[in-house]
Amino acid sequence: MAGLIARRCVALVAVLFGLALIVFVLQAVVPENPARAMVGASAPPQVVAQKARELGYDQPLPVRFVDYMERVLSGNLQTSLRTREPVLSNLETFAPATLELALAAAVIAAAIGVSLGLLLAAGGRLARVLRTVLIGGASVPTFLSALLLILLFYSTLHLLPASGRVSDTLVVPTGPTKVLLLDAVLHGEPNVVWSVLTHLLMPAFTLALIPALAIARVLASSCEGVMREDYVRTARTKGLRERTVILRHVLRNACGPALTMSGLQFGLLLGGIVVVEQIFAWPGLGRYLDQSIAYADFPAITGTTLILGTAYVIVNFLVDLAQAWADPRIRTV
Amino acid sequence: MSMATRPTDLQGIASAPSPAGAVAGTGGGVPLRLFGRRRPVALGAAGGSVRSALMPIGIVTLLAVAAPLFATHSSLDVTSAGPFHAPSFAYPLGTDEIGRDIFSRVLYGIRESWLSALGVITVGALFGAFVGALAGAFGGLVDMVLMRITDLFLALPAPVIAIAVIASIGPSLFHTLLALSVVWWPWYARIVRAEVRAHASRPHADAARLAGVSRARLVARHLLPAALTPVVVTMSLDVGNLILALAALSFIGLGAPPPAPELGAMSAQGLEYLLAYWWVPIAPAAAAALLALVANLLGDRANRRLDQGRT
Amino acid sequence: MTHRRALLAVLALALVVVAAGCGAASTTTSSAGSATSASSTSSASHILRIPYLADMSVPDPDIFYDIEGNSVILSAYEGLLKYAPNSDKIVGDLATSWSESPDRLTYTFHLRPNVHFHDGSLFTAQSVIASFKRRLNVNQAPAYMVKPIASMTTPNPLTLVVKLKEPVDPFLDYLASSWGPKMIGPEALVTHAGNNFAQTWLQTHDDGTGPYELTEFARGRQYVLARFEGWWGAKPYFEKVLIKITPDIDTQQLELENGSVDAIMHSFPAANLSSLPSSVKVLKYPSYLRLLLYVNTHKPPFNNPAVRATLRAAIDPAKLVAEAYSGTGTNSKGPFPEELLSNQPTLPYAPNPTVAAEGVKKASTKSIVLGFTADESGIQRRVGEILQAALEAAGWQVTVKEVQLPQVYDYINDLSAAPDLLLQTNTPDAANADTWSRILFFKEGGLNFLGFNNARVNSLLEKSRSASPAESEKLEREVGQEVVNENGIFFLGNIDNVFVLNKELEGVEQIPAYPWTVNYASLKRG
Repeated sequence: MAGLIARRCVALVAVLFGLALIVFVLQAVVPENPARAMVGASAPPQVVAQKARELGYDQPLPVRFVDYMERVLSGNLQTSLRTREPVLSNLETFAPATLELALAAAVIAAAIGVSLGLLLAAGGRLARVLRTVLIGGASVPTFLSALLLILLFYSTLHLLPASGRVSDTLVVPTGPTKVLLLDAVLHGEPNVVWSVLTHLLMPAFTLALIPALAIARVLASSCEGVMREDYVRTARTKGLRERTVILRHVLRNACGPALTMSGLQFGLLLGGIVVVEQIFAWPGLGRYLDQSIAYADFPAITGTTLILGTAYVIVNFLVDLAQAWADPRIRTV
Repeated sequence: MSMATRPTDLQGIASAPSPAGAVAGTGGGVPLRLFGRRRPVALGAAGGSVRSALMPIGIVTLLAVAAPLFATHSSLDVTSAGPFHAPSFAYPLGTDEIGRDIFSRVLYGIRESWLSALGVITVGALFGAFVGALAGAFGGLVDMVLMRITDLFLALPAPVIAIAVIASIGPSLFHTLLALSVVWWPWYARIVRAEVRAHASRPHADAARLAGVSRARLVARHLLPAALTPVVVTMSLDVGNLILALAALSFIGLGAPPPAPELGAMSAQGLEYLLAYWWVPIAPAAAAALLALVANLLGDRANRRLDQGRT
Repeated sequence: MTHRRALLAVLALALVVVAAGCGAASTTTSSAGSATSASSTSSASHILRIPYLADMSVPDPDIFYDIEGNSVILSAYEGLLKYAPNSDKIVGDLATSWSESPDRLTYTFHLRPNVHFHDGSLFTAQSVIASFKRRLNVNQAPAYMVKPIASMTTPNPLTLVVKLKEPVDPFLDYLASSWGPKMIGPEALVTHAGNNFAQTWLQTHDDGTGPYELTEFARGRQYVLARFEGWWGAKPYFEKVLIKITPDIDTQQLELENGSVDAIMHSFPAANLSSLPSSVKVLKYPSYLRLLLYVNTHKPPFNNPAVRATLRAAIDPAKLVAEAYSGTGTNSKGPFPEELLSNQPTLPYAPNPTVAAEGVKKASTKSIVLGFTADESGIQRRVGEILQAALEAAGWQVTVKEVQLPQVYDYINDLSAAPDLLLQTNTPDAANADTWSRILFFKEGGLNFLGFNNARVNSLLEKSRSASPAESEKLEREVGQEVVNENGIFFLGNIDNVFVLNKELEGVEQIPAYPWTVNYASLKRG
């Protein structure tokens, strides 16, 4: 196990380096002159040239890359052109909201995915109908499913709010985690907890639709595969109830790929986040990225990409480790 | 953005854990395993799965390409009915905010979206297959280097990278498709490599080698065709997702610029009229959903055939 | 068998989608707006909720130069002068009266007594000097307004005497402008100076004299304006204004219809105005916002004046405005906003397909790029597409490109890479013809994106700022005529200020020179 962890760590570092490299390359091909964007449109050419020198844009690419790596590793992600604040502090402000949304979506996706996956593996007409319905739901463009949900649950049924993380009439605890749900629970404020939950439900559900489908499919498929295995047949002939068979033998062996898929889906979730955060006015990294793109704010775009990429890589790394711990047969990989 | 669901490769590659399975190490990501319990499958049986995936895709592609033939108006001209005309006999899906016939635009959009998606996936699949075949056939250092690069791309969040790419080089349909191809190919490399390696140790491959068949020929004639099935199945599952990914990018403003009749762009640009003239965004979104649905269902069916063929 | 099921599912999905769409259409025509228990509602409360589509840049009055966000600045800060509601008449704000010397070089302002900053300190003539100086030091876009000042003196704490270097015709308009110099508490400027004249502190705080205080600036989420109990004016009805960043216009519309927000102040899709429920009312006022089409005169094909001139025949501004703005826009009658200059030269636009086609034939290249600045309401894109259709009908091959504002500011550095045509919506900095021509037509104008450079216009404008008002008007008319003749900028339409409000809101006071906002202090729930 230790060897596995070590190997995986090396791979992790390599991947993170590659991520930084790709982001640097993207930044380098940008045609606009960022120096001008930083000093303002009406600045005279000498000021622009000076700023460019300051930023090191007149240096050859390899030198710039080294500077960039030094900068990034020391946590300096430059200053946002739009907010005029350090990108890192902007990311710190917006990351918890996205984290909360992503976690909630992951929980919902797992719940729907696993239940549906099991149902599908069990077979039957209900399963097939459900599968088609879920595929249908996952085929609608996210922005449309978001708006339709708002139309239904907010505008027509008046059950859930359309935007924001929490009701603006409540005093929100500025707690330790900045994840409002956790903070509210920690501070023992049921009103806030309820408000956060109602605000979280629709955006998280919208985000969860597609991953749920993916997880369900993978789980169903691997369950079906496992169920054809000899040891499952053995368990059945031993007279165990079907439910025990499924839960104890099938699920445990089949959950590997589904777990991997969940980790991968986390990254794909990140794509839906820009759309969902816009429609539900969720003040997270997706919104920040979107506004940065609209403003051609390249320091912010690169900073956000680095953070999201790193988060994704780390999540998959942990999923990998978890899988290896759960299934010893993988450890020799 | 819904760049989701590639269950096939995982199901095919990492399914049915079995002690008999040989293990191919890569590092980071999905642990690659071969099929332990697999009965040697003749190409014919696996070919059934390919056929079941390719034929419907082929049919849909033909339909998509032919769709604009049914258009009653041009996709770009402004009609005499003016903007926001409700669906009627002359304009079955109404007119949009500029006065263009939505029905015709949707038909053109079906072609454009489907072909764009197919294009990205084909490019990604071809490139990925090439990389995977090289890695699987040569093994050793070549394999390791190529797979590390593949792992890097696999390890990165595709949507974020795609957005970053487009933001850097500027939005246009071509740039968007390019960015998507860049993030889409690694899966196929993985699949093809796994299949190539699996079959490389098979008796018929040994026989070919003994007969003096060159390595290139070995790969091309004997190993790659086996990889075709999971690749095609994955492609068919991906088409739907790519259409939705294009739609999501258009929503952010990074998709096809106007007046391109691309379904995602049409839907995103018409979204603000949802509450007053709902057909403007819903018609193209429904068409995109339909395409994605069809692709998903077809892919699903082919996928399950593949699974059944395996065990 | 699975096929049939699939088909049924597809049909069911389609039905659901269509039903929801119809539901959308019908909920908007029935009266909604009842208080919902799930969302925090605005009805019957002293809290005003207004959505913004995007963050404002910073709430620092010496940096802020955009439009969305001016309601924050105008609620927290005040200047010496302002405009009277629904007019371009200058009235006093923190100055109760003023006089101008005959040579128009010296202005004397008598200041309002007993005015306090939000930090409690007293407003005096010295505060004005400190604020003006700070604007010069920060030296961002709006700094030009105070640059003509030669010296300032305070004979007594409530009198300020300003001496200019040379006569500046629009000087009083600068002081009344939405982006004009605002009074910032001098003590705060000292305490929080840091090393950048308090710019860091003012990114998230305010210290003005206005009716509301900025108590929270949560970027990306919301801004909170709390009623300032020490304000010198009549106590506002609303004790809090919550400005919520809601980037999606559909979400904004739904929230307005259901009472979660009180008003949408701009970018409401004009096409949707006719299908609103009865809980909501629409108020429309003229503004100085204008839709412009810049032409790149520095590269082919439009560096050829004859080809440029045929654009007059290729576009139909009347039809364009009618289609894109659905009754919230009118045709431009001259190069300046109509209210700012009388007897303007007329605009010679007359659609004529033959002439338009001839222009294309004469052109050295047929393929052109039309850029439009991305805006959240989508109207610019729509106008761009309509223009594209019109130009293509004449024979041009038009690529429409969405561009971002920072890029637009950068075009001046490489005009050969800039688009051939650029769509923009602009407003003059103040209700004075000079603040329009100088930013647009002058060779170094801040909004002169494609480098329009006409020697005669430049020399006329150099004369006009220090000329007498009557002389200045004459010069501006000549400038206008020259600009129209040159075909370097096309004036497509005037855009109204459209407010969509909860029908209970009364006391709406708007000023054409301050687009996209109303006076929050005068609003009340009737």
